Amino acid sequence: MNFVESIKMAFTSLTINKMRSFLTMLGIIIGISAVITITTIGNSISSTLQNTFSEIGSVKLSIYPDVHRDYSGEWHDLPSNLELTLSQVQELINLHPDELTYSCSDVYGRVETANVNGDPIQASMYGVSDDFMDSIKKQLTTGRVITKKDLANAKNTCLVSDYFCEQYFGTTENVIGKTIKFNTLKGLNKGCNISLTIVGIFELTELDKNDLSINKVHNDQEKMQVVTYIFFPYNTMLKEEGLTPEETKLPQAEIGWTAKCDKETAKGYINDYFEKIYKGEEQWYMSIYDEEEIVGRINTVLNVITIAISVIAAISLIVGGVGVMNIMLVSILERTREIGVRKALGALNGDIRSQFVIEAIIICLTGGTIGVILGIVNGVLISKVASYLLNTLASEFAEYITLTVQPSVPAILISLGFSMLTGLIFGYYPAKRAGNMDPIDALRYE
Amino acid sequence: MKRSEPVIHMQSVTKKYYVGEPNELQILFDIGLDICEGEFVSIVGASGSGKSTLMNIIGLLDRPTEGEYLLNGTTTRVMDDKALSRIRNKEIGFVFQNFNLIPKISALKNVEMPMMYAGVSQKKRTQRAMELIELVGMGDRYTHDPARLSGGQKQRVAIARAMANDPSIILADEPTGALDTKTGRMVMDLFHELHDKQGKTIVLITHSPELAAETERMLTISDGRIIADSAKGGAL
Repeated sequence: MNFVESIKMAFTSLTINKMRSFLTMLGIIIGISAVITITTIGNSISSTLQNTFSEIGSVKLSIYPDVHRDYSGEWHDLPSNLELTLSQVQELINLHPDELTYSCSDVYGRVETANVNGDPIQASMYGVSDDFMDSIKKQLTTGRVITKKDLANAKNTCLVSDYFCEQYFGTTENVIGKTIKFNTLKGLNKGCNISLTIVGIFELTELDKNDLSINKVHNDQEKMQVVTYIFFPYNTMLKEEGLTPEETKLPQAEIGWTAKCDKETAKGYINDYFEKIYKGEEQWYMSIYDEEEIVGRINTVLNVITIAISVIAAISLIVGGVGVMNIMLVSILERTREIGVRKALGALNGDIRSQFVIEAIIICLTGGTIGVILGIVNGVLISKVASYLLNTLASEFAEYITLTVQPSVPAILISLGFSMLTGLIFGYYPAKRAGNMDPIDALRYE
Repeated sequence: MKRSEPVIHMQSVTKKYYVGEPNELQILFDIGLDICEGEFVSIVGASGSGKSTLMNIIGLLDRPTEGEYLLNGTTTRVMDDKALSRIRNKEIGFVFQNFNLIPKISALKNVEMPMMYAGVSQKKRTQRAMELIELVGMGDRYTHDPARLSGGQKQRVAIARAMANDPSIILADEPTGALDTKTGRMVMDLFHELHDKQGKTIVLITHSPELAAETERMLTISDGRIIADSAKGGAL
């Protein structure tokens, strides 16, 4: 018998008793919609994180000295010979020049200056390398970045934010080339003054402002003050401070890698290099922090939840399948005469069997499809509510966290596959019974 | 096929149930029967006489316990269920007392059904089914499902369905039993028409001597034996 005909017949018998068909499908609908809801949410969270990371900047490995987690001996402070220095990082990069990259932003100081009115303006000052702006994916609005030449010659050039210009000059117009004198507060030798010439302006985003807000007690009133960033060549900072790279201590360093290398190899290089330095040390080691591991960890949690929900869904599919089997047995009994007539008219056992198997599969697949649609709707609604809450709770992140709602296609296909399989497994026994009916008995059945 | 070649040939056919058990029951005894192409034969008998069992055997729904049944000269004894299904599909058209149309599908689809099992293409079977529906005078109601047809209309659709694969025999089991006299008459007229105009071989099973009298040849069955055959001059 013709396959298309069987499918048409299956839909006809589905629509004859709509309430019964719906109740039969309910178990499957619930199971599948639960799985699709959770996978839609999970997939949305994953792709949101992925998007956020790619927006903030490329993933790097942060290295810093840390205490072994399982260390139980006597505690002592980090010996000065184990502190991370600029020269160590430079040496590490020089060992693998084509594979590892270091974009410096770890030489840090806090400076102060005052505008024409005498209002103090504080800034966080970062000694950076020439590729730094690229690595944080910041674009300049005016001017140029710090060049290799600036770095090599320890030029007194700097990049300031539009916010700083507003505070200092009252405008962002015609500020390129102006020189500003800063008093250092922290990091750099205290009391030292440094004059820097502005070469470029970048935009200070809301996220940056949030990062840089400090509490300031002013006339007994606590006020939030926004500090701004100033970027200048790190060699300039070294020169001003009179430090050699060996003497320049870094709280941490961000190591990147090129296309010729991968993350795991980069980790290997870092470990190899610092193992020699930390040989014999029991408490301290050079820790490598991988930003992507957060995504990995969230994904692990999501996967565990997905597996748990899938187990529940599997149980609900089995229960639903038993329901389908039950209704198929009832339906076959009701249609005994029809089966007898079909056999008298020349239907083979296999024709009858496939008709009822297809009918069971169609019931399950229809249930599965309804479940998938419900699941996607649920997932999208929950994700929308979540993003709304996120935006009201932390509006300053709003422009960074753009929630991507993305149903998981493999999960949908697997779910539909499993609903078909349920129909096949639980429909086979009733269908076989129908196929093996004796035509005379079936025709006589009242 | 020449008229001398029988469509149905039965020799020493018996049917027993519960063979070898203490309650063994014999329904048919030594049936010998020849029905030729184009004959309109009636089989009459009281209920319990074995006429339904005989019809099941003729219709290949059941097998004889002993004896030989040749349909169109081919022995059916050695055939498996699948082969019997195929022959039923192609060579036998059933008309039942209670119509036995498939509910919830249109009259047209019902007529198409034997052709669907025969593997006829959708286009051809719709065309053929329409012709047959016109032939039985149901051309204006082919989209109706059986629940919306009267008894007489249902039986006419059933006859169209029986004709679908142009079978060698139309096997009608009490076709007017569930109809009133007037519609029963119309159904009988239709059988006569099929016989006269199309030359169909028709085997009519009935307990009504009046209907049987209309046919060319009447076989009387009683207690599992054919006791009279009008073609052989009445009582045997």
